[in-house]
Amino acid sequence: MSSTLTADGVRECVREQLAIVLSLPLESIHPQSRIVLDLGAESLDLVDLTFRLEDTLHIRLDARRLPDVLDSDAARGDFRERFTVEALSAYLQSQIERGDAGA
Amino acid sequence: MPGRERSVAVVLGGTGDLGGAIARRLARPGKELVLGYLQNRDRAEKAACDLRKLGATVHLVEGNVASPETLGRIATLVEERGGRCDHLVHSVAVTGFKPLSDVKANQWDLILRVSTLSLLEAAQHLARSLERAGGSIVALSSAGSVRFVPRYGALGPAKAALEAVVRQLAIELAPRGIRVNAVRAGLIEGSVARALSDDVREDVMRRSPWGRLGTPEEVAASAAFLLSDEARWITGHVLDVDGGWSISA
Repeated sequence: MSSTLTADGVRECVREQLAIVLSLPLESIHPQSRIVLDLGAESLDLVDLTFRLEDTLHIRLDARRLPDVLDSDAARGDFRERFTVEALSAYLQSQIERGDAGA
Repeated sequence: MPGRERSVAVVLGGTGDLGGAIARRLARPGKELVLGYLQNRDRAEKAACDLRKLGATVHLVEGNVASPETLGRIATLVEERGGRCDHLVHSVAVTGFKPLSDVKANQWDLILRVSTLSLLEAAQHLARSLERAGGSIVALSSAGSVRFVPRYGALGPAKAALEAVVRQLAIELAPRGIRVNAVRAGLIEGSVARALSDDVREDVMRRSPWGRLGTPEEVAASAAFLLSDEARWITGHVLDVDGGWSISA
């Protein structure tokens, strides 16, 4: 399933799962929404989101590594500022492509 | 049990503070340990290396144990290794450290699924293997199941439900020769204690008859006893392992 997902498809999947986890209307979740700062996700919500995305996209994620994977220089800036729907979607897309390449 | 007889133990949460201590307690030549862990491959590899030095054969299974897919992989591995499971240890929990009244519905679901339902599902996946071995199950509970713990999220209710699952399974699985017990640990040194505030930690130590927190090794010794044949007439029991804190606090 994952290999057929486009970038748009991955982004929609992220939005849909965030809407479920955070009980938010889908239309309130935009590509540039900051998942912690704008949408109010807590650490436990990120664990929940991680499990749901793993099930939906059939990939393995490590929620604790998300601050690192969104920026090679983890010390630069605030993770919460950079942790947007778009950034997470791009990371997931890269993970899917890496999995497909390794398959 | 003879010291070098081959046996298999599945330890869910086997690289955490408590699960890791139990795995070390069980490790010996002839022992096959299947360690389920969620994250941190490096820590899991280090734990496996240490256990192999004790003579055990170690298999690492990464994944969310609340997922049937992960439990299915573990059950398949056990089947491939001979199909017997002598010990199942459930040392898995998740919570957000905040008041219960602030816990949201999705967080409640996640905490109960990971911390409680995964025990039931693991027992279901491994029941045949446990039955073949005349095996036993030990689940790690905590004092939050019966007492107020500040900022414990929904983990207290999850642990209370876990203990109810233990009692229910103990009766249902007895005809198949499988025992089921729990260890209700007080606050121990490690990641949970570090996640709590200094005030909570100090309050626990002040009210403890021994004036300190427990250690993972002390809890592991009790879990190993309940798993062992020495406890063959004990099932459906929740053993307080807290240095007397629960009766003095």
